[in-house]
Amino acid sequence: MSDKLAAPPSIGPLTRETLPPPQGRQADDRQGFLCFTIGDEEYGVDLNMVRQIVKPPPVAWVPRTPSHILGVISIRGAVVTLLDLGLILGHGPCAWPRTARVLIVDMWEEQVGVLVDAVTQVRRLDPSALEAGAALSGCARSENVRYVARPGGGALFTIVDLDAILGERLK
Amino acid sequence: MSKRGKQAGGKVVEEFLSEAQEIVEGLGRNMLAIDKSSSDDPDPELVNELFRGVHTLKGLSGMFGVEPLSRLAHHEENMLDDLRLGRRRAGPEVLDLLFMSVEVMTGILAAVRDGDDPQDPLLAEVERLVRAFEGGGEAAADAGEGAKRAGCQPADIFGPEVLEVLTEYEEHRLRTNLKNGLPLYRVRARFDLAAIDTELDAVKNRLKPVAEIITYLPSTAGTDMDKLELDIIVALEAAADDLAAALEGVDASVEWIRTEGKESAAGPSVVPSAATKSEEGPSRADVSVAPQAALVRAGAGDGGRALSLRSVSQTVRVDIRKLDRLMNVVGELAIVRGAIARMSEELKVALGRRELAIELHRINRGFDRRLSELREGILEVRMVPLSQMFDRLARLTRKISRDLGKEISLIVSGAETEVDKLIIEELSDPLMHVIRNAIDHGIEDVEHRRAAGKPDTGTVALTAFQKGNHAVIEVEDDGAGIDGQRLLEAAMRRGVVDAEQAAVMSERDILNLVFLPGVSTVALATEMSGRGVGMDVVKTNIGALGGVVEVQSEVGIGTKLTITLPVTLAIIPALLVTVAERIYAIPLNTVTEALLVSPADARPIMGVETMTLRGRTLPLLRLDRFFGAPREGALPQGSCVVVASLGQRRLGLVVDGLVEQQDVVIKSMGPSLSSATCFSGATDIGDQRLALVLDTSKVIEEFFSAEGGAAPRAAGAE
Repeated sequence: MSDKLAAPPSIGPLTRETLPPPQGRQADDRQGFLCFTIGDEEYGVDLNMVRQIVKPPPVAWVPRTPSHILGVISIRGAVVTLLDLGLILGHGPCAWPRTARVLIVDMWEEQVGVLVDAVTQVRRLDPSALEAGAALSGCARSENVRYVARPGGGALFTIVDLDAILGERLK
Repeated sequence: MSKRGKQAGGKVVEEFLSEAQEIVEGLGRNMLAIDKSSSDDPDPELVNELFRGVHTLKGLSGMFGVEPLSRLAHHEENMLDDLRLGRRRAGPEVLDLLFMSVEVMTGILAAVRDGDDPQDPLLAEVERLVRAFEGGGEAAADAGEGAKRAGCQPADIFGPEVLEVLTEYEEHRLRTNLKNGLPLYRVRARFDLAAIDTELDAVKNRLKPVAEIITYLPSTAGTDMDKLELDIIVALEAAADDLAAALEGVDASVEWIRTEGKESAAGPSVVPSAATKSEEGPSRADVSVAPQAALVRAGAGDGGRALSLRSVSQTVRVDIRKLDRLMNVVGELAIVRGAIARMSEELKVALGRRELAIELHRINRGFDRRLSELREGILEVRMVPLSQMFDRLARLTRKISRDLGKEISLIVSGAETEVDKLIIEELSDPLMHVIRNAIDHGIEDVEHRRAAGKPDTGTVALTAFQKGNHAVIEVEDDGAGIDGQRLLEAAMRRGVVDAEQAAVMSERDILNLVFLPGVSTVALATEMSGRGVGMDVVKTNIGALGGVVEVQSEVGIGTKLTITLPVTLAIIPALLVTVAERIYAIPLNTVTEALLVSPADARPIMGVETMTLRGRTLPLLRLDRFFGAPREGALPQGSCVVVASLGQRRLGLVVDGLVEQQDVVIKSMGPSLSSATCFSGATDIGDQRLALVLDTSKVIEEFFSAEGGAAPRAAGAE
């Protein structure tokens, strides 16, 4: 819908132009991830999936839907389903802290809003810093993990596979 | 990825598709008209229109490189050319080919729309048609020859200068009309140069019912710079008086040219009066007959033809999404209006600002009026008559009845009923299925019909009319009807109904079983109707449009399906209500009234809360409970009941309070919420807030299906 990411102040302006080239075999092999927190854990998602980051607008609850569907919100005149990612990832319902943000992400046929506790930063990681999620296979919810990111020096964080997570929830 | 590619050329392709689709639909319409006249000698005007349509399609598809389509059109054009020139006869087999070609063309267009190249079954079909069009041209070759030999020749009437500019087709028509003994007239009409398109069209339309237009010849007689004179050569099919009447008020004079065969077969009474008419023709007009030679020297013979071919269209094709966008803007403006209204209220209270407040209020009222005009205007643009879809259905009927070897007469009425374009799109598949069902399963074969004392030809009536805010479409057949007992048995075999339920089901409930998936009285799914789409899908699709389907049937007499649909989808007046502190919108078209109730009004009957409204029992549904946030105990003080009705059923929706009545734009929710069936969408209510729009029909349906047989009868109208 939009070519610009409306980013919260902490990140600085982000535009599509600054996004890494897809499958960059050329100059930059690094992949961009938008990082956010839920509870005390840090997560990342593929930056290419994120269309927009907005402060949570008023939510209209939709009766008789699973609890991870918070309801619908109005994004630029369109009605968008809002999901509580924390609930899906096993953190319990979102406490709506003041830092909470909604990531508008592209899923197949529609855009979906994903509620997170806070957005922290954009990280560009070398492929070598990504460990396949297979290491955790067998653990609960391991199917949600795409990579474990090991940024040089920084703390580990989980890169979640939104396609898989939401795909299953939205069917 | 392929999606991207499609978007790149999308606009061009879309334009091609919509234009081609329009032509193909026009072809179908003309074919139906020819078919209806059911003679071997179809209206030449119609055949000629077919020819032109196919010709245009050929050019169009050639330009867009849709090779199979242009190839098909090319050969069809040749065949139609033979047809209109009388070199070939229009027997039923030719008509079959033509109808088939429309199917194939539609198939090709559908493939193009999906971004594919037409694949084999289609291509094979094209080749088959091409071969068929190429062959069999000689059959009626002698018809033209015969006419040439007999009687009056065009050359007896017109000089070679005129004959030279006549096209082969025009000459053929001239000859045929002479042969048939129709009197020829020259209508000399004067047109304003600036408005010739529309004026000529008007004259054409006046002439068509009484005469066949053979050609237009420009006349040079007029000296007025701003006027153009045309000689319209017509063959009169009605009495001469009718011609004069048809041209009433037109700046034209009429001159009789000649009638072949004197007072012969054509009708003796016509000719004399025509002759007298011709006497006064020239005298009442100030036009002198121009020498024929001058006509042609002017070299405008071609110009005349160009004029006749130019189609005058006052219509614009618009992408429906653009209208949706406009409608969204209207919705947003309505929110602005609300904000202004609030502000004027506040101003009124503020000290010393009373005049300003009144002024603002007045302005806002004007704004409001214009806004609703705008809204209605856009809605009107979105409305299209059902005729297009009905034409398609008529073609389908013809095809199915041929395939099944059943004689069917389809009676269409109310095709002019207008419905929102989107509804038509969504309606066409379900309706096709219903008709297919009616013909395949409803209408019996000839032996059975004879045995039942019915005429051989089965009748399917397709009727549409508007009823308040709704459009009603009925499909009625005079077939065998639905055997309720067998239906019930089938449902029980399927395990949909158990014996206990079966014992208490009303006749209507039983008939409604046809809408359950997998329930059919037909042992064998035929090729026609057994293909996946069942009546359950029909019901679902129509439900998605906010409509309802009802079925009535009598064994041995026939079946009638009634589809009731909202006329528009986009914007609706709604009642905003609060339930558990949240705001919801209830479409007003389903609301009959809203009233305050006290806790004492509610009475349980068999576990269902009910109240008495004007002496009738009204079942109640507490929306908070329905939404899954139940509050125990009696009705809260100050509750309101919104009485919703759909068809025969009434249900009282208990809400906490009424907010206001507002026009809302319904925006659909994403596929992720497709399970939230009791809402048709959400709507903006200002400040970025959304209110869910209740799908009343779904709620009512769910309520009555959950409550079982008892409640519906309590609610039903006596």
